[in-house]
This record gives sequence, structure tokens and C-alpha cells, in this order.
Amino acid sequence: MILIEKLTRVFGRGTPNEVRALREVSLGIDAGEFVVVIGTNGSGKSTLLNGIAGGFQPDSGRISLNGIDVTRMTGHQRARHIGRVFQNPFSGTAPTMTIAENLRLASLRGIPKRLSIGLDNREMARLRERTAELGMGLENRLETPIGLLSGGQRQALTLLMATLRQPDILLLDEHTAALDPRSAEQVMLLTERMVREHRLTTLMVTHDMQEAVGHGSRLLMMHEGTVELDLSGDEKKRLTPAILMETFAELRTMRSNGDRT
Amino acid sequence: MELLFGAIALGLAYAFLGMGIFITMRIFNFPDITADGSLTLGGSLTAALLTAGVSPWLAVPASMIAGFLAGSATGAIYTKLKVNGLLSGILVMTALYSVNLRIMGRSNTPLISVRTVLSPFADIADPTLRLLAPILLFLLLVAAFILFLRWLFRTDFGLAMRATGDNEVMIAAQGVATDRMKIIGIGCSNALIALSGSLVAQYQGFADIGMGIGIIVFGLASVIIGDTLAGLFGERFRIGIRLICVATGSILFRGLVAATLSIGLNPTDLKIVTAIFVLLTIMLPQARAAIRGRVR
Repeated sequence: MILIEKLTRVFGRGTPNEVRALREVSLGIDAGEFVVVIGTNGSGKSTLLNGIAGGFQPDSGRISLNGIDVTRMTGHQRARHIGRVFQNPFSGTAPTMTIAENLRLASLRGIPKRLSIGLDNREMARLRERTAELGMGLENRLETPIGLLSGGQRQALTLLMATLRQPDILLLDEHTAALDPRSAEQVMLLTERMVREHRLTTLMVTHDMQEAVGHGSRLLMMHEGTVELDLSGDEKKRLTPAILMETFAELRTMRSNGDRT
Repeated sequence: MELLFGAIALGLAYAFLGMGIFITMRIFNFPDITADGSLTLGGSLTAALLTAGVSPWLAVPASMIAGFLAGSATGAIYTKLKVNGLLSGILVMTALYSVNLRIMGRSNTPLISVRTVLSPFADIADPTLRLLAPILLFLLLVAAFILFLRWLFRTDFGLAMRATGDNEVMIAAQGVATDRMKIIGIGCSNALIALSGSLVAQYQGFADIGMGIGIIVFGLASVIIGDTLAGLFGERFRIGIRLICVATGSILFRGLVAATLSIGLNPTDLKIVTAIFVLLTIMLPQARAAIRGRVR
């Protein structure tokens, strides 16, 4: 259970460029929910995700993960609770290190890295098995430096890394946006499978309508730092890209009219 | 013969400098120039301790601890006080100049009449063997440290260290406090550099306040030669082999220095020759690529 209470984040406070990226956003995510967040640029969707990950300290509000208040924890202190996949496929992996070494570090997410060899034959065998789950043949290339792989392969591995240790929440930040269409589809299919198989509580940010409609059990639409639409269950299932576009347009006119009065 | 042996022994002693620079530059991607101060720190602390009658086998580790502290000071200024990396190194290096003078109490300490790690070899009758003994001792030390570092960078902690230099976003997401890693890493690097200073002082028979001036470029030279050597073997990733190449680079570089001196070059010109040499080695791959591009 993820609880976000009145989370507020203002960039450049007191300057002419002041941006209120998050305005008292409150949100509860139940265990096992797959929440898709959609919104325009500057709607606050990435800031919300970054706030949960601990990328900044909020101006006000609270975040708790499974009952633990993490509001004042730094990003690396929260890491044991959070699995992350970034928009940039190069962000999630260490390029000069091998696939096995990257996976080993991910297996130790949030727990101390000791002065002993952890990557022994047994661990290699375990990691080979887990890598085989991806179905990409990478289990035979565990000794390959990860920088030699394609963006899609690296993103698939990042996804695996985020789930090697069960996270309280999996954060996906437009993680298919920088991939070619085929890789994007492959990574999205893999995401679906992993979320289902490991019963992962997931928050996925996307700007792709199709992706937003086709995936997840709940949809949030953000606009100017607030959650404007929160659909789940049948409402979410009935959603089509056309309806979503319409709602978007409505939201925008409503807002701008509202601003004028 | 003596010149060659001298070059090899010094090359091995300076190999630790190369290994230290390798750690900050290649593993942590951090331009650390504390070296100028920490090498002298190793030399001057060793000199002071040996003169005070301390066993050389205590003086050497003490120098390494001092070097570690100096390096972690640079790391802390860089990470915690958010000072530019190069400037952090310059600050500590500058401060160390005074510290080193305080430690020695003067600018030059001769170590001819005190017991050093090399003293046991002074009584060897055979002149060739007497020259060879320090080389063997240094070689043993270099091998031991390469094995240790190879092990270290394969442990879980070592993997986290490497990832810190390779992709900070990634390793932070795995829950590693990267600031702490950098402080420890820059500390380890300077412990090795101080060890280098300690051995060089004992081999040369004196510690001098100026022994570290411009030494960073010597370390860079061995790292760059080492990388070129490793590249020849197609080895870009395995750390043990890369460290062997760095140590070999250090010996080759000392050989080059000895050769330049033996053809009658003034020792005072050594630094500019070194600088030009390092520049050339850095430029070489670019020049080669440019020429190749033109041919095609």
C-alpha cells in the first residue's frame, strides 16, 4: 500500500518562472494495482514518480510505503522498497560492467554490499535462470559488458533488475519512449508479464495514449500538477484512445476558461 | 645495467602511483590531483618515522593510512561540500605541502643511515643480485596488490565501487550511497599513491618536499601506456589485466626517462619531456584515426 498525502512541489519558488509541479496531490495505491499515469508535458506526472523515488524533498506532504514514512529519506535509502526503470535505456545499467555484475548489484538492492565475492557459480546459475525468463537469449551472454547491448535489451535487463528483489512498488518512467516501435512493444509485453507473474504494485508514467489504454488496472490523468481523472475497474476497461483524447481536450478548455474567470 | 635495473625498480615503485591514478581516473571517472601531495606525504611520513627509529614495516602501512585520509579529505570536500572535483584535489594538495613540511621538519630528509625495507639487501655480496633484490621485493608487492585489487573489484562492495564510476543513477537506485563510495575510493587511490611515495623515498635514499611536483603526469603516463597495452591485447574490461598493463606502463615509462637522461638530457627538462610525451600518447589514437579516415 502506497500512500501519498497532499504532496506539493514548487520549482523556482518566488521567481517569475515559478512552476507548481505538484499541487497537494493525494493518492492511495493498493498492493497489486497497476497504475498508469498519463498527462501532457509539465503536468507533473514525472515529478510525481520522481517524488516517490526520492529524487527531491517535497515542499510539503507525506509519502509512505507499506506503512513506512519515507518522506525524509534520500533516494538511495528508499531503494530497498523501489524498483525503477528509466526513460533513457542507458540510465538503468552500468555499461562497462557485465550483465551478471549488473544483475548481482540489482539482487542486492537496498541491502549492504559486502567485501566478499557474491558472484560465485551458484549465483551465476541463479542469474542465468532469471535472465532466461526474458526469452531474449541473454542468459548465454552474462559475461558480456552491458554497454555492448541494444537499447531494448538494456531496458529489458533494467526491468529484470528492478524485479530481482521484489519491490514494494515498481516505477516505470516512460520506459518505452526512447525505444524503436518493435523493442517498445517487446518491453511492454515483458512488463505486463513481470507485473502479473510477480504481482508487482506498479506505477507507469506514459504519454502514449495507446499504452495508457491498453495496460494497467487503473488510470490517472494529470494536468497542471493535479490528478484530474482517476479511473479503475470497468471504467478503465471501457476506455478508448478517442475517449481519452476527448477528456484531455475538455480538461484543457475547462482549465483555461476557469483561469479567465 | 645499473641504469636499467634502477629504471625497473623505480618503475615498480611508481606502479602504485599508476594504480592509484587508474582507480580514480578509470574506475571512478574522477580527475583527482591530490597525488602531488599524497605521494610526498607517503615519502615524508616514512622518512620521519624511519628517522625516529620506527620499523619500516610499520612506517609503510602508516604512510598508506595517511594517504587514505588525504584522499578521503579530497572526496569529502568534493561530495559533501560540493566543491569542483579538480579544485578539491588542488586544495588538499596545497594543504599537504605544509603538512609534509611539518612532518619532516625540513625540506629534505636523507635515509641513507636508517633502516628501510631495502636494508636487508645491502649486505648481499654479489653486485647483480644486490641490484636485483629490490626489484624482486617491489615486484612481489606489486603482484600482491594487483591480486588484492582484482579480488576487491570482484566483491559485491567492489562491484558497487565500479558502478559508482560507471553509472551513478543506476547504483543509487540499488541503494548505494555514492558519496561514501567516492570518498572511500579516492581514499584507496591515495593510499596506493602514498605507498608509492614511501617506496620511492626508501629506494632513492631520501624524501624531498618536491618529490611529488608534477607527479600526476607520471601517473597519467603509466595509465595511458597501460591502456594502450591492454588495447593491443583487446582487453578493455578485465581489471586485473588492465592493472598489470598499468604497472608495465610505469616500468616502460621509467625506462624511457632513463633513456632520455642517458642521451644527455638535462634532468630539469624532464617535466616538459614528460608532458609532451603524455600529450603525444593521448593524441596518437586520434591522429591514427584521422590518417585512416583520409586514406579511405
